[in-house]
This record gives sequence, structure tokens and C-alpha cells, in this order.
Amino acid sequence: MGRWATPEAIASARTGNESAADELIAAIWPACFRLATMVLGDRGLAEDAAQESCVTVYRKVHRLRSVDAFDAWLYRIVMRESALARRRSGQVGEQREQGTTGDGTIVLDVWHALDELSADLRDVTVLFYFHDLTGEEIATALHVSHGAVRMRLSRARERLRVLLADYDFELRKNFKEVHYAV
Amino acid sequence: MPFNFAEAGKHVQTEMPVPELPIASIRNRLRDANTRHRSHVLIACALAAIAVLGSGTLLAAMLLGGVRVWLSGNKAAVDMTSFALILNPNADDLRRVTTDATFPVVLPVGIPKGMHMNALVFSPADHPTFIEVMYRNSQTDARSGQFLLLDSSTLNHGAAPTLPNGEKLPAGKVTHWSVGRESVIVLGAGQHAAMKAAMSGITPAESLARTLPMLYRTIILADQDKLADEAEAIAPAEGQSVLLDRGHLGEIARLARSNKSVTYTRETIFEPHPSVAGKPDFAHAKRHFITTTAVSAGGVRAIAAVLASGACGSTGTTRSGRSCQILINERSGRAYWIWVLPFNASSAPTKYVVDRTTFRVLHRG
Repeated sequence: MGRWATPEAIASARTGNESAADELIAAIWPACFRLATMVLGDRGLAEDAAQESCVTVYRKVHRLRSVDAFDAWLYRIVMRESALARRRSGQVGEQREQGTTGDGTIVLDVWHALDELSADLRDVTVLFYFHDLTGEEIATALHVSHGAVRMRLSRARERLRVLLADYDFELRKNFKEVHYAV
Repeated sequence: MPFNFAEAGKHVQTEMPVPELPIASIRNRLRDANTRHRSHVLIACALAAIAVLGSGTLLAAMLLGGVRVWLSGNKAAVDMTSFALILNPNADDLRRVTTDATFPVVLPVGIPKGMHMNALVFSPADHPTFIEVMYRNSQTDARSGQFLLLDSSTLNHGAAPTLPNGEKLPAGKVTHWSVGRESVIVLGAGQHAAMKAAMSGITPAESLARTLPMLYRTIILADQDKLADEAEAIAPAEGQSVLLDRGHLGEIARLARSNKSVTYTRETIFEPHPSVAGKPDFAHAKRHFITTTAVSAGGVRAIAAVLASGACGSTGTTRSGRSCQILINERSGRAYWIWVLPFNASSAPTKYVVDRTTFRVLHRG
């Protein structure tokens, strides 16, 4: 609960209160943008997807059946808008996100690894490893079966093992442990 | 090197610089999305006729400006690649479209009482050779037949050609006749003998004169237009009157704060659209919106004052709490006239007079 915004903010926006909707949008904007960027690898496309996600929230939050449903609902929206942005662009754009905060090498390798994954594998990787969603939650967000999520995660792990092979054994061990949480 | 993929990814996310919330851009997108939504609802309606006949993006050539019709016996097929759409057209719209048409347009006569023209589709946008008119009763939601009026010289006789994907362009049953240089095609196999006779004995100008009372003078900015007839009956004959629904009222407070007007899409022009499996994909058509001001910035402030006075079931900005629509007329030089029209049929509309300078509610009753 409360990954995106506080339950109070969501509840208030659900009533149709305009200023509450503004506050909710302000609260979710950074996370929407960051998730879209991780999924798309392109800040321009990500901003487009995040804005469209906010528009959907504005238009439909009052129809949300409960506050508890907000997180899953917003994941679905951002992932769908990201997929649409990806489709509109033909493929992920040229202008890669390449932040160099912290250990620049590691950051670049994370981006490199993500860029090497197909869109399907990248989506599940971001949601599972960086957002700690369960297999069921990812299946809901992506509108696919739980089995498909497991399959994609398995493939992503195999691919990432190769891509991140330069790192020591602890990486792979750690990686494997996380994987079994599906 | 200690490295945890999940933690590294989370770190990248957390440290990622985020652009400032582009609220203006989101607002614009929101307005476009709302417009698209309304358009889609009515386009679905407008294209129902075309769907019955079948439509495909048959030929890229726009020889006939985006609409091609084949008539074979009592069946017709339509290929529609671009068109313009006006929802709830007014007298000026209808006059313009009929005047610009390449043929003398005789509009349908003998339409049942209570119907209003709720959509006008035409193509090409500048000099139409094809006009589709639709009528609806906002009280009963009944719809009259949908009428395609074409320049006879553009009508193709015979079976429609095959689509590039090998499918046959579908054809539907129609009733058709000619009036001068105009071909009239009505969807379905209904009895239209009386209408045919009436249209044959009337001039284009007379048919226009008979149709004008079937157009709303009021600009209807409402998804649910059940109160449209009531608003039309109340609206003064002079000055622009606008009916606003709850969706628009939800925007009033923000617009008033920023001293902005309410705009609306007067006309939508759909460019040649992509095709999916040989069928037109209107959802991804390139659209041009001709927008205009419905309520001035001052009118918006006046409505905000009325809402703030507790009218319409809410003193706040809550959309869902409102139980009315609002009609505004800006004709008067010194005041805005605003009517609150409750959804509850047993309640009478309430008129408010708001000072143009101070935006104070001067009178209620």
C-alpha cells in the first residue's frame, strides 16, 4: 500500500475534488516518470508516457472502486502508456538515460543490461527487481498470465547473468535469491 | 565488487533527476483527451451508418475527397478516408456546408417531431460532395434514419471493388432516390415514399428553412444532453447560450482562478487515416480541431460565483456532488444570465443574474 501516494490523498482525489486531484498528480509524477524511464530508457518518451498516465488518473480516479486498488491500477496505466509510447516511437529512442550518480560504472551497467533486454523482459525485470512487485502483481500490471511472468523473469535472469558476468559471484548469488521470491 | 542488481536499479531510480511537473502540458492533454472522448462517442454514432454499409481504406487516391460510394441495386458500399464532423451543428454551420457543397443540397424533410440534428459529417471539408446528417431526440434517445446526401456525379454504380487485402468491401441494404443533382441514400429498407415525394417538391432553400428549427441555438457542451431541450426553451433568442455539464463545471474553479475561458471543438477534421486489416482506424486518424470560445473568462467567473453561492448542490469543487447543469447567456450588457437546471425533473430551473464588473450575484429567482 502507498507506493505512489498516501491513502488520504487517493481517497480525497476519488471524491472528485479538483485540488485533491492536483495534489495526487504532484505526488505520483516523480514515480511515474522514473518507472517509465526505467522501462523505456528514454527520458523524452518517458515524460510523454508519464504525462499520459497523469491524464488518465485525472480523468478516471473518481471511478476507482477503492483506495486499495490504486497502486495496481496506476502500475497498469504507466506500463500501458509506456508500451504505447514505445510502439509510437517504433522502438526505444536513441537518447538513453545514462545517469552517473553514485558508482558511475555500476549505473551504466544497469542501463546497459536493461537496454540489452527485449521490451517484455525489461518490463518484468524493472517491476520485479526495482519495484518489488510479486509475480501476481506484475501479471496484473502487464495484463499477462502469472506463468508468462515467471517465464519472462527466467529468461531475463539468464540474459542478465551473461550481461553482468563481469561482476563477482556474490552478484549472481544475490541475483538468484531475489529470483526465487517470485 | 559488492553489487546487488536490485539495489543498484533502485538506486538508479531514486537518484534519477525528474523534470518539473509539466502541469500546463498535462492540462492540455487532459482537455484533448476529454474532447477525443466526446468525439469518439459521437463518431461511433456518426459512423454507425458507414459501418452498416461497410467501410475500408480502399484506394489512396482522394479523387472524391475522401468518400466513395458504390450503389448496386438496393445495396451500397462506402469507402471513407477523410471527413469533417460537426456535433450539434448550428444554423451557420449548416448554411456554410450546404452553400459550399458541389451540388444543390435538398435536406431531408418530414423528420419526426422532437428530433434535432445532432451531427453533420461531410467530405471534403471545403467543398463537400458527400454530406451525412443524423437526427436524435434527446428526451427519448430515439434516432431517425441516417441520411447520406451525395453529388450524383460522384456516385459509382455497380459492385464495389475488392480491397487490397482481398476482402470484398461490405455492402448494406439501403433505400435511395435522386432529387435533382443529389442522390439520397437512407440506411435500411424503411418506407420513405412520403419523404421522397416531399423532397422532390421542395427547393434547397425551402429544405434548409424547414431544417433550421431542428438545430439547437444553444451550444451543448454536455455528454448527457437530456436537459438540452429545456435549455433551448429557456435560452434567450439573442446572444450565445451555452449548456455546461458536470464535467465542465468541475473545471470552472480552476479556469476562474486563472481568468480563462471555456473553449470547445466546433469542428473536427479527420485526415486520411491508417488502415488495420483493410479497415479504417479512426482512433489513430490525424485530426484537426477547430476550437472556439464557448464561455468568456468573465462568464466563467460569473458561473464560479453562482456555484460558490451553493447552487448546483455543492459549494466546493466536487464534481460528483453536483446535481445540475448550467446554462449561461452573455447577451446582456451589464450582467450574465445563468440558469441552474436540476436533473430532478420536479425541480424548476433557477435564474441567477451576475454583475459583469463585480461578479456578485445580483438576483436569484
